[in-house]
Amino acid sequence: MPDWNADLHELVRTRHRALIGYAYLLSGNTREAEDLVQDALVKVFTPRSAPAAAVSEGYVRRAILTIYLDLYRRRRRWSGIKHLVGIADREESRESAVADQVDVAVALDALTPRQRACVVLRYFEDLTVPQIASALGCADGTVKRHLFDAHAILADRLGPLSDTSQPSPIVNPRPLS
Amino acid sequence: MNRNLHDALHSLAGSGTDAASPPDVLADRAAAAVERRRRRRPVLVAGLAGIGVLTAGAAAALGYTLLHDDAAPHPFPDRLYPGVESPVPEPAAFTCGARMDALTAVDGPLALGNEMVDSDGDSRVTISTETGTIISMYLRNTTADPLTYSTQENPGIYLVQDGVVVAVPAVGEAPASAPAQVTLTAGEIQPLLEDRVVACPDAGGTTPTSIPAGDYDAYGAITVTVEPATTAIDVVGGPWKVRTTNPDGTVSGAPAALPQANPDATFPQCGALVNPPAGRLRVALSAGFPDLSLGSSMSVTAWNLSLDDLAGEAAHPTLVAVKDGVVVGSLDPDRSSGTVPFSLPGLDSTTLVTAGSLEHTVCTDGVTPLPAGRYSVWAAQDLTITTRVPRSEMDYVAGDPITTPEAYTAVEEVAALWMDAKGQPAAHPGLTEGWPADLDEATAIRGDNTEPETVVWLAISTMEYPLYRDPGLVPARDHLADLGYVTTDLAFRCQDGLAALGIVPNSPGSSGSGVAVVFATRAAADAFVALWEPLHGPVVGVVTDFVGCDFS
Repeated sequence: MPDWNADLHELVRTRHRALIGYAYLLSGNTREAEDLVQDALVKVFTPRSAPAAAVSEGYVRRAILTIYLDLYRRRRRWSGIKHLVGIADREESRESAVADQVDVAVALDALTPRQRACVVLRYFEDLTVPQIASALGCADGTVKRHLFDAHAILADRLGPLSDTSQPSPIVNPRPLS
Repeated sequence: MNRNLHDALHSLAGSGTDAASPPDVLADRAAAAVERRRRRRPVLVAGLAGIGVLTAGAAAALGYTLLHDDAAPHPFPDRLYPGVESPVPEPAAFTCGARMDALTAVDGPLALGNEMVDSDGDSRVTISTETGTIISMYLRNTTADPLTYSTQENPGIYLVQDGVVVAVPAVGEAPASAPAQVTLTAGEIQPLLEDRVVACPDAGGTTPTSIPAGDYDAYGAITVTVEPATTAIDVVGGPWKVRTTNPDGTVSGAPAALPQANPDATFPQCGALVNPPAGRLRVALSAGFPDLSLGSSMSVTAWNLSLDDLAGEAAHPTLVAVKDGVVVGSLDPDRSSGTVPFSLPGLDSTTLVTAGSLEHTVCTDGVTPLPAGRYSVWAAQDLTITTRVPRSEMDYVAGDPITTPEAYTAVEEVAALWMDAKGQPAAHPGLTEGWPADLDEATAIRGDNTEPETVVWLAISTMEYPLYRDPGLVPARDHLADLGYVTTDLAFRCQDGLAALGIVPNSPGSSGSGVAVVFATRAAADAFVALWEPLHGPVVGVVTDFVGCDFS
């Protein structure tokens, strides 16, 4: 078996849940998540010089994100006519989720793709704002705005969020230093 | 119970994974697809003449198309395959050491652009050559019809300095970002992931381990075949102005010069003079104690200091770095233009919390980090008061509501930003070496000390902070804060020895305040004065007496 094939199988065998979970949070759909991961694996391992096994997961994750954002761009055209075709959206993916998870999934659906990507990278991947900005190829300020807007949307649907670093109001000012 | 996003997302991800296909099934499917693509990868066919070249100084974001010619050295040589292949030895465009001023532009069906430096301005983007994607590039269909292209490799970045190629891409270390075949409608873009860039060998043949920090012109290039042609073309984008940092994050060259004061600029424009608020404010702003070394987002709290009830719409705050009373920092380019409703009863603890983001770059170019040191962070928040209920100062009786819209801008210093030599926000560095340590506010005011404290008064006002603002206190406060002292303001009610300074409080219960430093001993205070006065002139006075605030 060629090295790339062994590396691919080893990566999927050991990191299947992490990669599918990441793709699932982005897409909101198990079937689409599997497609995202498969497409990303193909992109990483098709070039004649595939990356070393130790670093391949990072590139697969980067490819998942890029494909997801690219898919949305194309889907915007498709969504304009899909009602004519009568395609069911994501109902089937909620069967395995408990009610609480459904709330979160529905709340994530209310976000734009970039807001959703920022939230997933921040709270699932635990990246910092500069790391997210690097992953998305945008400025730190853009990421902060996406996160701020996403927090507002999620809080509106899920109630107060406990880990979004919103300090409590300060009543009395203090001297500055 | 507050929702924890981290836990919620991990739980949700688990449910999605539980429903997925087993790992071996996914791996087998992916491997089969890889195998199919590797077998059918086409061989690039060259053969057309007419190599297009770039002119020096070509505008950014134009697309250039170069055609392969097997009879001549490829203008874009094979990428460096570390340890596998050698670069094309013949001099040619985009090889290490080649000069870039021998190229001219050619229009083509595809343009290579990027998301970071799409403007035609002179701003320079700071990039890190250590990350997987240093410049987010995309291909754009420049024709009026759908277009299909195929590609086998990632795009690459070439860095040019003083007209010479000094860094080239290394293939094989990033995943292929584009599928084998892409169809774009007119004007549509396809995002790309580029290969890592490596420095060219120096004169001695040694390849640097990292790209030297500095300013460069960046070019992107990708090889594609546009249907129905079978000939591969190289699509080039750039030049894009970029700056790289040292591996430790420092930036090369001398620290950036801060902008000069511009009397024609208005706050928060670059170079504008800050006019500190004076007297009793209607709406005060505070940011708590944000640690700006952890992030640039800041929550700003506004509260009503007037007697009147105020209601309306508030814009998100604008935050900007100020030095010596001059706006020197850039504004957040992505600040929200939306508004939020507010209702703030007079002299009530109800507050309005909104968020803003502080930029750490010099406002003259929006790219260069602010030099090391401390900066005052000023916030400006526009309020449209749509309903105001006036209340009498005598008996606090509410009058008739006033519904004529009224514009009010709250402007106030809300935080401090410390920048380090690497151009990064830093935590408070502590007291400047050599200056005597003071007593913190809590210790000084606790009132149970057995020995009297010594207070060095640097500037005084008949108005009492924080309800009132006196612009005359700002310079002394800034100088003190620059040295690293934390407690800077002290009310006269907190030390009885003001008579020694000839200060009479303006009224009982409101004694005025000043900028002051509290020391445990007279010796420490004298040491402070000896250092301060040569720099900033004489102090107002030094008073040794117990410090204990009377709030009666």
